[in-house]
Amino acid sequence: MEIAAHCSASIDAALEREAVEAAFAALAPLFEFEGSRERAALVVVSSNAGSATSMRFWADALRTGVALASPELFPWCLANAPCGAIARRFGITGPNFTCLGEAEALAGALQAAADELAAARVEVAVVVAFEFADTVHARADMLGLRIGGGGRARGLRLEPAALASAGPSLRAAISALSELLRALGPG
Amino acid sequence: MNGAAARVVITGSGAVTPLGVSAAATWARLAVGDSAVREWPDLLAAGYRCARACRIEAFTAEPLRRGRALAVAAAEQAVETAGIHLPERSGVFIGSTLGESEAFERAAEGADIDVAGFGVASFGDGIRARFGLRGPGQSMATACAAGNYAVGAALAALRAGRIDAALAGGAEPFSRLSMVGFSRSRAMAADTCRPFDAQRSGMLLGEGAAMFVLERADDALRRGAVPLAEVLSLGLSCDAHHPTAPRPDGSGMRAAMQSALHAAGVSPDQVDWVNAHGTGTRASDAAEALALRDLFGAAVPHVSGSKGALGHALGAAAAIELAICLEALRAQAVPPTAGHDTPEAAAGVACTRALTPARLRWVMNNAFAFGGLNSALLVRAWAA
Repeated sequence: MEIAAHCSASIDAALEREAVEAAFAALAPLFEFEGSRERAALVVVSSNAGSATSMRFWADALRTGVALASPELFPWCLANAPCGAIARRFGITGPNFTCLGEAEALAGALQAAADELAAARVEVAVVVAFEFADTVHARADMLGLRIGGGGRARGLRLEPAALASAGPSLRAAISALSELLRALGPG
Repeated sequence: MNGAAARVVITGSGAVTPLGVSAAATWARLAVGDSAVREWPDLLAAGYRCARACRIEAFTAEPLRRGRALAVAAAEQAVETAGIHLPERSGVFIGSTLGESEAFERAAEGADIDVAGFGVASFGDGIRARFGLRGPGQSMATACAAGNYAVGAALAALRAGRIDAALAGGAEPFSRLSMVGFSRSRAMAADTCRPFDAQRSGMLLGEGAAMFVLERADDALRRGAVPLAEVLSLGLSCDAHHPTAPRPDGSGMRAAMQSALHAAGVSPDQVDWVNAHGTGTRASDAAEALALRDLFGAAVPHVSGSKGALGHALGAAAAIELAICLEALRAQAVPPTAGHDTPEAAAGVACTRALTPARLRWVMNNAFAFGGLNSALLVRAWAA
């Protein structure tokens, strides 16, 4: 399966919101395409979107009392917040998916993109794999410790021409995943 | 495999909701206008400004695995009502917001919990383990629209021949974190949830799960099953507008509904009933009303909403409401909209206020979410 564009970035951010905002520049090439933003699908896949902010939000709520918890953090407790933020940043108003989990979720995300293209509901599908700070980083941050790193984003853009050579099957999605990993290399 | 045009049907339905621990029990109370809304002493004692919610007292589970237990219980009902021995190539497609909220809360409180094992995927893993399934799966973290997404993913997989049957739906355990979050976002109702009502002031939280068995129609008929409904299409769009608020003109919601109709080759005048998202918040209901009027014009079909009776079950809401759609198709009646007493004249959408017998064929199940997600699932009464 041909990949029209791809990107990779390492992110030093403890919470999802700042991680997504830090990744915008790296993700930008994925959204440099002609055509309608309504006819573009966006798929985010992550094993832990929402986890760090949820823990921070609840820790803060316990500290301040539930009646005074920070309303700004709450939307980022939802695992689909990164996908929504990317859609807003790049104006993508087509189908918007967030798949949560490990390797199967990545294959499923690619399958969702392939299905949208195969059904001709969209002309472009962008898949972004986002790993946010893990529990260790999130706990350290809550204690005021920054231990650095902890996040990565990788993305690719699929277009119908690419789909035509492979077909909308799980095999094609796995093939795309393999090609993505080869293209991006380690780290 | 029957090819891309294969018809896909729902043959089993299971639900665990604040109104009942089965789809039929939920429908029986919903149909007579019951509401599960009540005030909870434990929430009052903990200092919550809003202590009204819809919880399932009749369902107990290990607190850290309540979401998974709800999902498994609903799946067991769905399999039983379908009368199916799930084939080896059965997929599991489940939607929720985040996973086991209790695990994230306890981890934040200092408990030694690795939250990685408590995400949405853990719900699907529980269902697979219960039924010994080895087929593909997908965990859709698409918040309040997740149930529609999960059924749509199952529809795509069945049509493409990647699986032979599916368990699909949504689950959401009661979440203190969400109670606080929505309250602090000023989204909670002052007293009760009143979808599309002139006096509406917000939402109330719920919990629950609903799961469905989906099969290709030919396979279902071959084994003698009686389909509950045919799943036609899922329309999706994103507002790309605001983290929590919908586009005020409802254009994103309308786009999702239009997409579902277009994909199924159905015109708006064929739709008999819209099960609205209807959260009871000022902004969301106003936008949905505009979207309905824009799409259907003067001929808005029957509209109802169930969140005044069940609360908003977030990642389970769309699936629970699909279970209600199936019960309504069986009864050929639109349920009442609890909390809807005074239609807002400017909105131009009047919901059902009592059980309304109607000829129901095409039914649309709307579900929208924070992040600007819009979904509309189109189902049809089964006709061979």
